[in-house]
Amino acid sequence: MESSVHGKMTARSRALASLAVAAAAIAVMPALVSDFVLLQIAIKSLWLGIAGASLAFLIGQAGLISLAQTAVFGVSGYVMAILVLDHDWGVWFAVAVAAAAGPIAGLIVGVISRRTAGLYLMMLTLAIGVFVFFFAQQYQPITRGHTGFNGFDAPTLFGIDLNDRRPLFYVTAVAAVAVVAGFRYVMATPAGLAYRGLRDNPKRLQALGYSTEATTVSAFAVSGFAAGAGGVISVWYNGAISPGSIDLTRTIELLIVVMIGGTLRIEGAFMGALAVTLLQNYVSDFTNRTETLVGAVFMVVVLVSRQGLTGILLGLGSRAQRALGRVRSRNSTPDRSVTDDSRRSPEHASRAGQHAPPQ
Amino acid sequence: MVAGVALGAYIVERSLEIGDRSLLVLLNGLTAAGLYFLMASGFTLVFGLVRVTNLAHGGLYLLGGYFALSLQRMTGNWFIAAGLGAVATAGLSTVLYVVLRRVHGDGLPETMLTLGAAIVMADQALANWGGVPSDLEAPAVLRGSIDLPGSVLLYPKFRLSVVAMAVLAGLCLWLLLYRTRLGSTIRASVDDRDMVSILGIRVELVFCTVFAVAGALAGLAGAAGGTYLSLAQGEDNRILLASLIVVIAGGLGSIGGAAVAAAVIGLVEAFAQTHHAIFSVLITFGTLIAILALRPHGIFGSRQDDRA
Repeated sequence: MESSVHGKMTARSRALASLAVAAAAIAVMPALVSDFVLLQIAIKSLWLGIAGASLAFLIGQAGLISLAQTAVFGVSGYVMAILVLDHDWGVWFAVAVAAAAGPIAGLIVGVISRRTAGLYLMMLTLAIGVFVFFFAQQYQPITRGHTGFNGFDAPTLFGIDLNDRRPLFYVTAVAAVAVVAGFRYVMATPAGLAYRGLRDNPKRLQALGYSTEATTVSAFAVSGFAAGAGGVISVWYNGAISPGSIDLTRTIELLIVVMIGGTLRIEGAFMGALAVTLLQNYVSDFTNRTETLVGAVFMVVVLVSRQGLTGILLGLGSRAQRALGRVRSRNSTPDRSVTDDSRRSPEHASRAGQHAPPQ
Repeated sequence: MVAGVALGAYIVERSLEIGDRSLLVLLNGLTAAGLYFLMASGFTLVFGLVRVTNLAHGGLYLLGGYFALSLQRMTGNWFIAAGLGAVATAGLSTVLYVVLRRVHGDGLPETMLTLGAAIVMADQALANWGGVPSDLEAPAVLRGSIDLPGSVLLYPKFRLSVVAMAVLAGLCLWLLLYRTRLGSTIRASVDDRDMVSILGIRVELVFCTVFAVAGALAGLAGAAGGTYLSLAQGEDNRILLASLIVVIAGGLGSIGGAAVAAAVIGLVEAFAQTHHAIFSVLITFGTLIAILALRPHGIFGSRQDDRA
């Protein structure tokens, strides 16, 4: 009893500590790096990471590999652009509607694909994603077709123009922290447990009285919040959205972000986004074939580790922790009360994350 | 009286026009179906056997088309170009299989790898052949058009030959699968991979062959599609989506299903493009959803694949 209270307190204080570290990093970041890095690397990888986090949540927590997250992302971006540029809505009303459009689009994707899993889910969501792309490209009266929407001005918040780098960075960073905190909260609720049940053993989840279909649909809806937020901020950042922002290449890019980052932690998506953004920005100095490189890096990551950069880092971390523990255990008995998710070694988590082998 | 004759003539003319139009829709649909079948048959074969959704299949199509384009510029012969192009994509597909063998999963990591390969292929196509749409020249024998019987229309010979090519490919596949020892091994591996390998058959070699065959079919489709459509950036994704729809509608792993679904989807798409151009994608997807509503596992799909 005492130990569990102790565990909860460490978990909470650890969450607060990481929040404080994140806040400090965000606060000092603009002062440390050049404007170019801030705009091209930091902000870009933050919004890409937000969109990636929605997919990392689906894959890592619920075991649902969706290729329709870019579509959800695009729906939100398009809704905002259409309402503001074609219907003269106030920006913040449009943002509110677009933010709501994310989970709604996620819900629809979930309803369509609620009975599928694994490869079938991947194919069905791919079809949905490409369908949305074609919709954006062909339905000119609504989506302006191939060119999409250009010249979208980021809104002003409390009189601060978000077209400026620094305010946009702060807003995006706060959104990123909110997304991570939100997902972590969901993961700690019984619903989060149900998602992991869906990932690890759908049949047992069903035997416990849960509906796998409802769990799937709600996972898609929850992830839609982050995908939608990513879509909205990407339009602020780019000032534009077009079918090219949601085509298959972007879909794959998002998947690459998540796989490179690893799905053990939601935060991995941001590492993956940072890695991909760095690759795209700096490799283009040497070669025009960045896509080839991104694809090749992706293949190597899949070949080497299914857990991406977070897996590699956590592996190093747990090794260090074990070494530390060995030193400590000479002095006192080790504290074994903390058994929360974060202490699981990546090897164990990866085993749990795998689906049932084919019959 | 005069008005009656005029009305009669008008009605006859209209119905002829409509008849002509339906004939065109039919032919366009069958042509598209031919191309889709060439793609989908390899795709579905690979899936049935190795449980891999080969998302690089569109890339193989595009590269096959571009290989054929370069070879045609060198040799001047369409058939040699298409044949060698298909051999090249068969080789690429085999290489892909060798890479895929390095991960042992439930199909998901393999599928991810094919995604990465798809990106690399698309980017390499862009690097080597540029972003300007280009197309192959039809072979001399198949150039020009023929009169369609019972109508005033002309139809390009090459498009008709795509249908013939697909039928021929289907026939060859059928012969391969149902009349040869290799074919029975492939079918047995689809049903029970482990048992086949226990019987002392090198299952990897069988898989490798299937990948090569699928790659060759995709390359051939690329040469055909590159001749009557065009080769451009994004074509790989378009054709991948089309074959994905065909494969899902037909039932994963079923070649007969792929043939039927290719015909259905091709015809529906041609009809939609002629009559409701702006809704064409919606109508195609509506068909897919309708098929899946009636038969959740596709036209010839089996139930056992429920949750893979």
